[in-house]
Amino acid sequence: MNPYAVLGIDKDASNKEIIQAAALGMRQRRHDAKTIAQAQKKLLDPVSRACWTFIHFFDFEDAKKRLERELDEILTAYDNTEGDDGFGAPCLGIFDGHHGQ
Amino acid sequence: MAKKRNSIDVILKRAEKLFETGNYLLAEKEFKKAKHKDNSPEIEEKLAICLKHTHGLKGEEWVKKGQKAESRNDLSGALSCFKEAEALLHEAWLTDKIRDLEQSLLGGEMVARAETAVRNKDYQAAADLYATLGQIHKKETYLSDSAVCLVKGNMFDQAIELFTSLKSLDDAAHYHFGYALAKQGRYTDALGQWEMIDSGDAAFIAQQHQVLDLAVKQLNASMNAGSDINGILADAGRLLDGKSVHGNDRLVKGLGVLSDYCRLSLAKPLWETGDYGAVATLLESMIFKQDPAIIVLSALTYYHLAETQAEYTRPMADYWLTAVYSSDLAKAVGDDPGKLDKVRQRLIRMAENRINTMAGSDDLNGAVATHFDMDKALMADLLAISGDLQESHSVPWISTPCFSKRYGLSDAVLAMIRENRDYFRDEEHYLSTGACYSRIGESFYALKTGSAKEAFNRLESMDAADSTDEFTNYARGLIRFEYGKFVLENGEKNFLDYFDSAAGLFETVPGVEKKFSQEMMQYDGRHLFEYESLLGFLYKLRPSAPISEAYSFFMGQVALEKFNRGKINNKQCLVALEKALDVDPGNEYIIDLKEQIAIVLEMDALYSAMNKRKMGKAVALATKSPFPELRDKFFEFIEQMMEQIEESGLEKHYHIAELNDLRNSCMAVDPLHPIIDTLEMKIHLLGD
Repeated sequence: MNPYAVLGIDKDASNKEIIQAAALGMRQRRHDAKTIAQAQKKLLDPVSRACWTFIHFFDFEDAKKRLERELDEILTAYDNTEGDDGFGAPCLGIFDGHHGQ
Repeated sequence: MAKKRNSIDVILKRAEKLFETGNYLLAEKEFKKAKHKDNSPEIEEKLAICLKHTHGLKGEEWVKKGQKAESRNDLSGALSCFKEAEALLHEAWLTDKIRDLEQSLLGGEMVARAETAVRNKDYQAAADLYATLGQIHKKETYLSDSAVCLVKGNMFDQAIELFTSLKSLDDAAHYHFGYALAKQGRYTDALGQWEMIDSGDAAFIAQQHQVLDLAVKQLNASMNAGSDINGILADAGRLLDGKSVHGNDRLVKGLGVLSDYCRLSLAKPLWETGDYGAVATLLESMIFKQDPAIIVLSALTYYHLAETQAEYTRPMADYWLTAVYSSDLAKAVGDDPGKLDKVRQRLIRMAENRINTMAGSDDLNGAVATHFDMDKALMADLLAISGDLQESHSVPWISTPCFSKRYGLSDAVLAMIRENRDYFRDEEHYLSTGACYSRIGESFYALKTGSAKEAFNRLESMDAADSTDEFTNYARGLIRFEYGKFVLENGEKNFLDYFDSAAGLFETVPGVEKKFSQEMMQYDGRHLFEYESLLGFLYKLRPSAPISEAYSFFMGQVALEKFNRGKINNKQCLVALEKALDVDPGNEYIIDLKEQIAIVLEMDALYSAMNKRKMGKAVALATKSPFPELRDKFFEFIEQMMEQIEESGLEKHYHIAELNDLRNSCMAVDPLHPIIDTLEMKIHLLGD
């Protein structure tokens, strides 16, 4: 069970918002009362909440930023091309020599 | 004579003769002469027949001449011959042949013009001429040459279009196609064309590297611009699979990072919709699986999947501990170390619950749980001894042995364990922790998760013979020891071969010896004799107290077993028990067993004596025996005999005499025994 999804709240919801969401959930009967109560309990306890946050929220952007930085380092260190003007090398003649077969 | 030879009759006669023999060529000549002198319908008719035959022959002659000329590449000569043949034979194939030769003669001239255009760098003209030749001859090579000329003339778009339309390309075509693509900024496609060329030319390789750099930069730019992620991932994959990246470790890494970035981008919406199966598929194709963030994502994904699918329990267990000890969790929880520890322990319990819920009854899941328990203890120990080292590494310093190995941290972890030897509660704790991180750690894990056979097989397949540090020595010794027991239990005869290093193992880790001894003291299996041999072997190597006790115990067990099976008599049994006591003089089990055997022996003698009414002998046995049980038995027998006398119906005076005998025997053994009163009362009643 994802208590955040049960209560329909986001990761940064305050305790007050958790309680309000639980009350609203009870009224709207999106889930049974026991499930809503369990979700509220899981999120009001700081240790429990940290666990459920860890399990249900993965920071993709942070992970991507790490990779971006790593890639920038690699490409910066390896910048031996002629710049951003594209491919400027001459056409090689080593493969010529059979016109008109 | 001349007149005669040229006369019409002679000519006709000669012509007829040649005609009849089928020599139509000469017959035709003679008939023509005759026709000049005196024509007639008959001569005309014969001449027509001859001409019909000779045209065919002459036509075939021209065909042969034409073919010879063509084979000499004399296309003009061949054309003349085939024309002559066609005039004589009027055959359709000759008409086609003449048209082909005429086109070839025209083509040769065009090729020459095209080559001149190339030399003059008039590539447009050359391309046009080759294109025309391609149309005339329906040959792709001319079209390919046309495309090459377009490339040389910097007409890249047209060249790419033409190359794309061709079915097969040679090296020149692949190079120029790739060159045109590179010029148009299609770097990945360009490298794809150049992949087809097997060339070690330095200039070509240099161009490949240039284009590869550009391709990677282009992909990076596309990624930053938020272009089609699937397309970028596919292009990066093509580049990674290509030859041009070989040896360029930095770019390979760059492409790997870029690919993983794409996968993370693709995984995000899947994660948010709870499609963890799809996320797992992306994770499996990740290149840098050891990236700390990827480890956390993997652990979480497998945790969610393991909720309903048991097969994800093992991967979850593999990743979980490294994830919960990672800096990602620490960052998420904040600066409170107490809270961090509570969160970590709670998360570990959550994973354990998942393992136990999904475990079921099979051995595999039992092994997962054991493995997880081992890792859990290792992580707690590592955290305790690592201090602030965990902050100084970009990789998770507190990681399970499999991740330490992936990060190349195993040796550093082993060094840390050695430096903190005092932390460990005993030698076994110290060595087993190091063994998990040692080169034969996987084998050691297999042993600890319940498979001595797998552990031994892995050990045999590992190239770890040169590892002789204390951890590998301990692990190797323990694996051989446990595998030896496995071999013994399987009934193989050579089990002693595996215990050659057991004495060293016991010396280093007495706990192993003690545990083994305790196991032996509780042994209730069917390999009593084999274990006695093993313990005898170990006793010779190391007559320590635990081994002596176990060996002595087994000697007694074996003696008793043989006695019970009737293979030895009671005296031989007592001798064997004496030997067992020599090994361990204070062995209470053997002392007790020996006493039991002695009692049995005396009981047998007592029974025999009383059965034969040798009361004097019975009294002597009961009196001299150190065992009160024997006297109790004596009086039981007396009571039985008293009842037998009562029921025997003897005459009174015999009856009294028998009872008096019993009374006297009892008095000799124990004058205060209550049965004497009973006997005296019975005698008294009979006397009245």
